[in-house]
Amino acid sequence: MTSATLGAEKRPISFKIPSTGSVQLNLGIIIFSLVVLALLSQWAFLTPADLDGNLAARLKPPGFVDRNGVTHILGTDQLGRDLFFRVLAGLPWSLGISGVAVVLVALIGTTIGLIGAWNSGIVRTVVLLGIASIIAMPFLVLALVVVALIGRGFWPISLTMGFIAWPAIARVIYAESRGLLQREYVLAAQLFGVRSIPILLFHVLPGLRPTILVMAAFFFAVLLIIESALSFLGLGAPLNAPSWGNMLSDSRQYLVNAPWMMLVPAAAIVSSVISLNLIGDGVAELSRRRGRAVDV
Amino acid sequence: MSAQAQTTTPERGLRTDPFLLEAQDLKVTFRAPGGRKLHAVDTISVGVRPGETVGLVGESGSGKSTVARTIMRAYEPEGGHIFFEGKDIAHLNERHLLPIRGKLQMVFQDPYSSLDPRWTIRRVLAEPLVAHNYGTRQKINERVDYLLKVVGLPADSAQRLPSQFSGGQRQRIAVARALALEPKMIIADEPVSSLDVSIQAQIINLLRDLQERLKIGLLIIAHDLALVHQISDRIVVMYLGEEVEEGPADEVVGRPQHPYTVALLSATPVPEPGGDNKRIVLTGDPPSPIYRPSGCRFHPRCPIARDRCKTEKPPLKEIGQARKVACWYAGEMPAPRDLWAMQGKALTAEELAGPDLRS
Repeated sequence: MTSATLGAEKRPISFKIPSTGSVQLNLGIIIFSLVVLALLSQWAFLTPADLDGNLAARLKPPGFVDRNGVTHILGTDQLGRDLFFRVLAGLPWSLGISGVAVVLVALIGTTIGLIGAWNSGIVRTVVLLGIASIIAMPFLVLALVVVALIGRGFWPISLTMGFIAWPAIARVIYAESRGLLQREYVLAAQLFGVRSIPILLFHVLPGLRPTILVMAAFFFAVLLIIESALSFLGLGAPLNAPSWGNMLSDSRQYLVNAPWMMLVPAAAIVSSVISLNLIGDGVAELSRRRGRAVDV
Repeated sequence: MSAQAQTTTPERGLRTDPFLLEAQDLKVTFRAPGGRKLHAVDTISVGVRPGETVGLVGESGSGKSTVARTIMRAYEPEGGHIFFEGKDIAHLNERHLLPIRGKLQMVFQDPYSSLDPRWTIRRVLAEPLVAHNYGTRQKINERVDYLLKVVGLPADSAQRLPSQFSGGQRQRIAVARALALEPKMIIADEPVSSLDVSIQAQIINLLRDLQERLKIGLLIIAHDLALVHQISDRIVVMYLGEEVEEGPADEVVGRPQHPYTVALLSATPVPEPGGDNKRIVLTGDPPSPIYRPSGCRFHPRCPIARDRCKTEKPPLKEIGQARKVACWYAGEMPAPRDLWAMQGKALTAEELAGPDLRS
């Protein structure tokens, strides 16, 4: 992971599991991998029929065995659909949408932040004003309006979130890049005749890597919650899609009679968010530690 | 301390051939908060001939680094010219500057900040080569290996990161990088002031050695007059963005004319027992380059200032061959060795010869 290893001579291939040295990071990666693995396993056994409802088995508690001898591990919802299968099938909707959005957010945020930091004068003013004015708008309301205008679905939601959420990252990247651009090696490169793009790509961007990773992990979690919120409010994934937010929304009316309907998707959201936050914390801690050990 | 084989030929600092690099009446101002002007550099003229070493001396904030960076065209000067090989580069755009950047290189003050901590040394040294399309990967690698040898670093340094080197070694790397494109002129901005004293001599010797071998013009910027005297042919003394004295190195150090130069000199420790140097401690801080004193910029801190200095600005006068000073009462300030005499000590022949600042 360090660039220290890049230039090194060939070394024997090691089969050791790489240890990152950060407890939080390890824990976060483990939980997140478990969540993703569990979700991915759906393609191994989940058939479309499993997602069909069975009105004879509505609102049954976890562990219920129906007439066909099928065990509903996590119970069923108001249409008799198996909650375990539904929460698995929610992967592309919940993690997928926020995953696409976070990539978009990181790309746009980093680019705009760098542009603002590198240029001075009008360009910088425009960038900073743009960031400030988008941040000034309430995110959820803005997202609601846009989704209401362009419609629901995987791509509309992920793109909307991506295009609205970047300013927060851009602002951090801007501040961080301003600092990195003060370093003398940047001036040295300029005085050797190196052009702007290589300087930004090879001197500044690598220095921003820890920041981008940390911000991306946190934003992944934030966007996951926002996606759920949008679905919960009825403007996220299409009505019958098994998005975790939709499932939460469905559970509202049955909170007393069938609390598992709320607990199952909530557990999925909470475990994903916690693991992503742990990953973010872990990366931050590692880069701090490495920063101390290695360089200015 | 010993009188080493120094290039103290009579004509040291007295060459008259054309300059390789010449800054003429360089003027740089920055915008300070409140719309005021910060006069970082005000009409400085410095010239360096091929193979010559010129020292630019002044205290912190006197505008030395700004001169260096302006000549390197990190800033565009507000006024004046920068002639390099006879061509005025003061207002060239980046595209036209590119060929000149190869011939005019710089060594920075802080080798911890001037090398990217994430880049291997090979990559650091290759950077200017790549920027100037030096050649194939193999040619670049060969050049990098050669550069490491020139500055006396082990060949396997190329694979390592800057953090694996000491400050002195890092500065060698910075020097190697400056040499990458076979420059004709190197500007060294405080090249040793962030290094241990024991390492300073190494870097200075390296620079001098390289300069003699490669016939590079060298502009050394420093606040330590003794150190600059050790390697320079000529010295230019700056105060608050303006030139106050200029001349051959031995002249400036041996017979300083401007009170500021005398004060700088007196700050140099005397390497002999009982040679209790009477230091001229300048009172107050250097004035602000935003609100500059009237008349002679130095008058509020000058021990010999008179009424005239408060109102009239002394011009930079020629007072001998390649010798200039900007002071109404040039030479009236006793030089350090005379100060020792004033302490009532009988002067030995050695003391009369002045402090040996070369050690």
